[in-house]
Amino acid sequence: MNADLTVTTLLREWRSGDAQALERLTPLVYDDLRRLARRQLRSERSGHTLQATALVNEAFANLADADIPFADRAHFFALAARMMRRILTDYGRRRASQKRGGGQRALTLQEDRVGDGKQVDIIELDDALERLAQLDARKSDVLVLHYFGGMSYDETAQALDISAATVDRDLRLAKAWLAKELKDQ
Amino acid sequence: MSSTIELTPSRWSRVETLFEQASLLEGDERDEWLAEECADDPELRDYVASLLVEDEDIAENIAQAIVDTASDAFSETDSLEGEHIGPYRVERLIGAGGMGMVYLARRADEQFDQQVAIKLGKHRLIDPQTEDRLRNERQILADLDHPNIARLFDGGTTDDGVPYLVMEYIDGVRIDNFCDARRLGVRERLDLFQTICAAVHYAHQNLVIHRDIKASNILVTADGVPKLLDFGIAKLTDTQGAATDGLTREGSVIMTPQNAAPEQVLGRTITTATDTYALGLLLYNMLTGLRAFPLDDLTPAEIARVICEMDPVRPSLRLAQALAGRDDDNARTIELLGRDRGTSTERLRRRLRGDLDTIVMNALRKEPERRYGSVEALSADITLHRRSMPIEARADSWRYRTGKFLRRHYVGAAVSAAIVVLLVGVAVVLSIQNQRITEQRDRAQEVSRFLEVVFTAPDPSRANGETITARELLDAGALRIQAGLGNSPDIQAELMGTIGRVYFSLGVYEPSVEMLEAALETQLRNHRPGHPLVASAQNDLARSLIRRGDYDRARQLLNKALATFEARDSAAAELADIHHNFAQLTLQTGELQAAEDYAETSIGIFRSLGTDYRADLATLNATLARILQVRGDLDRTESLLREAISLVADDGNDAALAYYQQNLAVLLRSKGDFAGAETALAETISTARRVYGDEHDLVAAALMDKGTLLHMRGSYDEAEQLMREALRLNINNRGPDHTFVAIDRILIGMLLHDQLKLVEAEAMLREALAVFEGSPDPDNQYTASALTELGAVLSTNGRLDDALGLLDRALAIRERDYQPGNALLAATQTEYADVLTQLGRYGDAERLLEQSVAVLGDASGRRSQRADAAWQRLQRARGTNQR
Repeated sequence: MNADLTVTTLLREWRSGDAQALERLTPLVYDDLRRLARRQLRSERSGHTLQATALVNEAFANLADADIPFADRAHFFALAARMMRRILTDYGRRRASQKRGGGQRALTLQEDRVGDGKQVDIIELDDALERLAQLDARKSDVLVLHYFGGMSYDETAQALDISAATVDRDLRLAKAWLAKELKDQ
Repeated sequence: MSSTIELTPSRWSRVETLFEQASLLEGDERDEWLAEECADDPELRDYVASLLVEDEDIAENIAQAIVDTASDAFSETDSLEGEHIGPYRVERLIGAGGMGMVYLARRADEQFDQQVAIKLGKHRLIDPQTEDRLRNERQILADLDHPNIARLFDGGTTDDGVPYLVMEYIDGVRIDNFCDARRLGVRERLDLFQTICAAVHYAHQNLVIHRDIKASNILVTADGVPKLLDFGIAKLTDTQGAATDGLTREGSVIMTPQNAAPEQVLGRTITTATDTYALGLLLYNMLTGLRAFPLDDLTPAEIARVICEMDPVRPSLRLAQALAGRDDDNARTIELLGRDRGTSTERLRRRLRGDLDTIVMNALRKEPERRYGSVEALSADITLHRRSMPIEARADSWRYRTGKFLRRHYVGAAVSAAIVVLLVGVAVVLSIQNQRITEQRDRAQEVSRFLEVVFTAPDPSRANGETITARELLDAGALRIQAGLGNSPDIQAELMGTIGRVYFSLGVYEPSVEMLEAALETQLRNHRPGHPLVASAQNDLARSLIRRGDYDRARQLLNKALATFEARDSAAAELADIHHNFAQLTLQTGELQAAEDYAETSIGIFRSLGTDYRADLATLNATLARILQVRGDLDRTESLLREAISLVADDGNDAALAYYQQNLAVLLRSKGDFAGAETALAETISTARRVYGDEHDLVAAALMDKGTLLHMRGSYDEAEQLMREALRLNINNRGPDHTFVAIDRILIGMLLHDQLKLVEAEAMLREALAVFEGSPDPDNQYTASALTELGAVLSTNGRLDDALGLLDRALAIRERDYQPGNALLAATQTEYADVLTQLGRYGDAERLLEQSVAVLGDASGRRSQRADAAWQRLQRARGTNQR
């Protein structure tokens, strides 16, 4: 891989219409997300405190130039959020397949974690997001940016080129849809 | 209440609306409202109600699941890193694409110390399509052995059942980055491109279509060897040529939509021509640094439309546009386009103009069968170009008709887009003019709301799905502006003005005047008479009034506007425009000296304003040229037209260029410079074809003009070819019985006569005659022309009595309307006399010929030649007779 192609350059290329820049950007961001995550886990031995969204932020600070325009910044977060979904879902599926035959799906929450609600499985979540994408691709994307990227309304609006008001509308309905979908499983 | 229902798109959009509105309500009120709204669809009511049940737990659990998975996932090492796949040990992730992850790996058995790329499918069994496709790829690629195609070594499935491929690892740089980093010039880029063509052609000969050729699939090694990767979606042409891998099938998106060919978007048969198209896109980008289609920020549906309907802007014009749109922000980027190719962007533009434009555009034709017949043919044309030999591809060939619908469709789309741009422009202008921020925001919002209404509100008088034309859109907008917006007079007036100007540019002057009158009235109600907004409205209205012939009113308005702007500083552009309108006005009223002065003043102002006003300057040059042409100053007319041509050519404004070239041709012809006229017509034809398509009126007119010039200088065969093409176009565009079509037939009939194709000539002229005789006034001058030429043909054919009858009628019509000395009358007299000579009536013949030779004698051209010949025949006949 060409080392002098920084994340900032790739982002700019991607934004300026070169969809393939994304493919080259992916491993860079992926590697960094993983590296940061490991470091965080090492420093906080308690575990389970790792915030995917915080990681995205840190990866950004790490990889991109400081003077990157807001639009590129929003696109970076969107990219990282989608990638985070991919990383986590792939991991979930791999674990599930390793444990296949063990009688339970991996990665449902421990029973004692939260109160009454239905436990959420990352693969179910991914499948549900996929179904929503079939119905309404943008709303699915808004959810991904929200949950996996922790993106603000303004950032989401910028990344998807819609208004913040639309983000708000989309998010409320999409969350309701997702909650219902996961409950009904 | 956990109802799950089938959500069709229309139902989903109802869900959206209901959910949004119901969330503003609470309790019973909400239930009642929902029940009422969904009276027709109780299932939907239950569904929306179930969505409205808030559940914070779930939301929190989702967040928690993500956090937990992240913790687990990142605390493990990547299960693949260091693992073995077959005899290979995975080193690291090097890429991720639609198909799955790509890892760098090394053979672990030390037998070969070789790095390989392993492409791992995304899922195990979830996506059997992928597995099939990968297995497919394996079979095909294993057979391909070419130095510029990445080899496939191995393949299989992992222990988990995930399919993988082991491929030659190419340590290289994407071809576009490679070229830019080394600043390769056009020549070196063509070298690389032709090498790729050879590889693709090799694959085609082995019945393999790549289907996804793009820059990221071509890496160039440090030695400069390009390698084509990723036959991931290739299929054997003989077995599955008709496969329809869709762009839109969710979850299995395999095509990069930006690179898709129209047939891929439409799900039609994929052939080797699909690769030709992709190579065209690649070449476009390699040469210009720009994408053939600007598809950023478009939805997939819009992308599909653009790919299927819009012709890309040819490379050199695209660069010209980039250069014209240069500003502080992008100046460096644009400069880099040239610098990355070892030249300046302007020189690059000139380098691409012509052959390379044509080659790229030929590869990018919408219809696969109209592209190069093979990749080899594409490459061969590049070779011809490099040897400075004529290339095979034509800039859209003569018989091209299939794209006509799309072309028209595209023009329609462009017009409505222009309107939207104009209207949105108003919002911006208003924002600038308004000082108070809040007011500004309110206005911008009001304008946006209005635009939404105009462009989205259904019109009850229309059937669903009927296409709305730009004109109807405008009419709807006009109505709504007058009806609404009464309490925002500034916006109302601006929008009225905009729509009035758009009507003007569409050439519909009645509604234009109406809207501009209303705009002026509204401005006058809100501003004092000398306000610049009022003056602008006066100027706009005057422009439309001139076209409608209302000269006195136009003059009054222009004088008022002039007084306003003359009293202000920094209104130079407005003053120039007003003077331009004065020039148009006085040209119409025949005050030619005044017209010339006004135009000169306007030109002077535009010149002082710099390059931003080059388009205006060109228009004015053309206006002044017309004035001077009427005044008879043909030399200055010519120099003005030539300047206008160079201005619009520099701007890449080919639409105007075509018309100016034609004007120049007409001028040169009337100056007697036939060779110059012919050149100008050839340029007109090629420009008009490029901008307006092969079928356009201007093309037809210029072909006919050129045909008559060729006729005049004796190149009969070429003349016939051009004129018949013009005739065909005119029939297509206007129908077989149109006056213009019949006139074309007369001109062709005269040519056929001179070629002595007498039977064809007679048929051609009789068709023309039938059209004119069928008109409400059958004895018109066109009828006389047809009769004259038909009579002449019959006379050559020896059918003297028939000829005499026709010419008798023709002469009667001519003599009714024309005085002696008229050239048309003289032409008919010539033919009449010639028949009389052959009938031995020398005295009558001589009386007529004396008149016609006096009129036509000194002129050049066919009429005078025929008069001359008739005179000589008469003298000879007399001589023989006397002897």
